[in-house]
Amino acid sequence: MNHTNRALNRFFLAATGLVLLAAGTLTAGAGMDAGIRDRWSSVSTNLLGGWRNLRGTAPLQEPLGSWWALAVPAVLLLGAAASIMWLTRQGGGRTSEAARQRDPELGDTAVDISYLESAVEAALEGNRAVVGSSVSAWRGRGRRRTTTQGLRITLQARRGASPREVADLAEALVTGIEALLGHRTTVLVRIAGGTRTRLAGAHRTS
Amino acid sequence: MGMARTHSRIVRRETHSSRAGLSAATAVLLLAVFLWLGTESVLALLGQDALVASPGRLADAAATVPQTTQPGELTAAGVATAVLGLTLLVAAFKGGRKGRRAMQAERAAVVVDDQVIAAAVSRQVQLTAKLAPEQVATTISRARAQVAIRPTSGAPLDREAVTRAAAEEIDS
Repeated sequence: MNHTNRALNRFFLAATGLVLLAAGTLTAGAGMDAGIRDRWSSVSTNLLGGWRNLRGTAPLQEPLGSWWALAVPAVLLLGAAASIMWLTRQGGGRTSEAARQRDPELGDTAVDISYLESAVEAALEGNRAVVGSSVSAWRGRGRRRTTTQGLRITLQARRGASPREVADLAEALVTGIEALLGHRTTVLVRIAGGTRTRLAGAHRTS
Repeated sequence: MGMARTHSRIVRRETHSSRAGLSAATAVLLLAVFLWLGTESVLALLGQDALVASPGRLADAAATVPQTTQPGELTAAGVATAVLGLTLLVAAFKGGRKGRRAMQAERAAVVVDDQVIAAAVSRQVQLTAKLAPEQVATTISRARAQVAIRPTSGAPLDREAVTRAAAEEIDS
């Protein structure tokens, strides 16, 4: 439910993988074939010569030497900034607001997620199939201004509890939440079996 | 309103890896390379000593690498880089399924860990065949559920009843 752009992640991985694959194949080829090695040397000498000519076209005082020489660290630092931006774009989208109703006259009403969390905990009190629960709220993806919220309920099932039983329980919880909020919400229920499941006792019918 | 479509999109995002980890790791490495090269070039511009090697020397070294390194080393380095690139490519295109699956539900999108299903099947088998928990082990893979039973010696095992119990649990 978070804001990670999965397609872009995979595209980035594919692009980097392709570049590495090409560079690796070229280097391996250079190791095996003398012809490739000669091509490599000649191409790189040409490139270096081209770079020196380029530097000569826009001279600047020493030790900078040229405007083009300034461009190199500028591009590299831009690349670094882009990488940092890329890192910050992973995940995110969590809010503490479970729902918000806007009214131009009376003002906005926002329901905090802790309210729903304690309501769910109270509803699950004494239930034999569930060991723990947690509720979180997420903003909608895409156009960030949309107020469509999503709720994510994680239920820790007791070891051996029937998933069907827990799913029916979850549906009852969702109906309750929708009654509390007064409108339909998009809810994701995750029935998990984690550390709490393993540490708690197994499901017994008695 | 397209609630079913929203649900299926949410379920797909929940049951498949986002590749955020691998992507972030690659970005961190790229960042390190950019920062290092950037520092080197800035130091060279200011006329200071380089940290490891100035950009000029780096460029010359890259140009003459076929002459200065052994062919064997070159091939080895090339193969290693190519394999790394291939791994990234494969990771980009493979499904990346987490051990979870969706369940039938109306008002919400429900996703269950396979581990929970396995535990439930084990429990049903235990109850039907009156076994202890240590004697039953269930493994759930993408399309199959495998139940391994170690029956108590001397006590007969009713295969049919057991298989039926497991199947019923799965179907619900």
